Amino acid sequence: MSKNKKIMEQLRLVLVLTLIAAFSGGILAVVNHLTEPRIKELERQATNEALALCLPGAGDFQKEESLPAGAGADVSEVYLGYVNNEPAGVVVKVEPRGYGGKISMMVGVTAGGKVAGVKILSHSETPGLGAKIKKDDFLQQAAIRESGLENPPALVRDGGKVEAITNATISCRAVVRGINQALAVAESFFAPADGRLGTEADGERGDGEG
Amino acid sequence: MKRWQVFANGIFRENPIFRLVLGMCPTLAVSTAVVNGLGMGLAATFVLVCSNVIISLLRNVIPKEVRIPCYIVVIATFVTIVDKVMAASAPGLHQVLGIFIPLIVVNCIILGRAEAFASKNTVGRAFMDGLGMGIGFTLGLVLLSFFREVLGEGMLLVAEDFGFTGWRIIPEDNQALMLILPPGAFITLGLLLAGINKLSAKLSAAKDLAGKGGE
Repeated sequence: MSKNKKIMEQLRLVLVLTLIAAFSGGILAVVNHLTEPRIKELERQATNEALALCLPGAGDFQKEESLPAGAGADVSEVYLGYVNNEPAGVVVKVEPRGYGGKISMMVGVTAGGKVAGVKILSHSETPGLGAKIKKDDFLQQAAIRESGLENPPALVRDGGKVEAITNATISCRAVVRGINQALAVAESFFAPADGRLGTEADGERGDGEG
Repeated sequence: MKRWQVFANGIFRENPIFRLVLGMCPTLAVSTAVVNGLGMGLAATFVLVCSNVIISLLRNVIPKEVRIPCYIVVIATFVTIVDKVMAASAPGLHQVLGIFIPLIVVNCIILGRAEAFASKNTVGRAFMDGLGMGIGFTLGLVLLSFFREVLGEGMLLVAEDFGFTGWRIIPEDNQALMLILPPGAFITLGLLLAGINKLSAKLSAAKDLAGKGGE
């Protein structure tokens, strides 16, 4: 009798916990069903906004299935941007190592090999120091904005023209490294030998339609 | 205790941050900006109120041998709801608070109130306790992040996610950067704790004096 009672008591413990867990599972399934599409949509939207910012003018972006051979170690995603179905440039997602961790950024490069835009997506640099890499003072300086394959960006300290943020050389160097890796990817897509070179460089060679 | 006293208890006498000193991990980590502190506080308040109510409702159903797993399941459910809803409605804030949202599950305040209060009180009182404790936690976080943001960042109320650029209080490059960094969290919290202890000691001394005068 008392043994039976004990078993019943044990069963009650299992039953109550199981019921609570099952009920919770049901509620979470509903919540997930309601929020999942919106979360996916927001993620897609954020990516599209970043892409459009990095390669202004391009209307359509196609993600490359595989990274080009010889891409830098920090390159994680490559998108081709199209204007009227013609490839107008690439947007490369690179994640160079900064001071506090990976700096996730997107760099747009035109078919002519010019940097079209740089956006920092996320980073864990020191607030007030390395975190300033997000600011226009740094990212929008002429030495970065007007850089390209012909004149790859480099910090002043490394013999280039990019003004680093005071006390944040490592973060700034990481950003510059990211841009250079993106330029390398663009080169592999639009290099002259490839025959996919953009119109600007065609004109320079002078063997086009004139 | 009357209901409003249960409510006020969590804000002053047993403030989770300054009196109970519970839930310090998220407190120290997210209090870098007022909006982060507010977001974290409100998320924790929601979980606290909901879990308190449900646990109070089930207090005669849940066997005491398995009460902790039951509480954790209830709390984890609400935390996941907050996590999903925040990701869908305020992705920027969600990204900033990051790992600390799922970690509300193990926030000592929530399990502590479930065990110490909700499991022994009626639904109405458990609700008031959850609300009071949650608001107390939120106020503590906002106070801490207010000092850290203003002195450390030199800005007030930066919330890019909600289109707020904030106000600059201290000219750029003159702010006490260290307060935004992890050590600054400990220093600010220590100073605030000391200040509040001093204040409450003074208040209770004054109360004693007034009490004697009245006799």
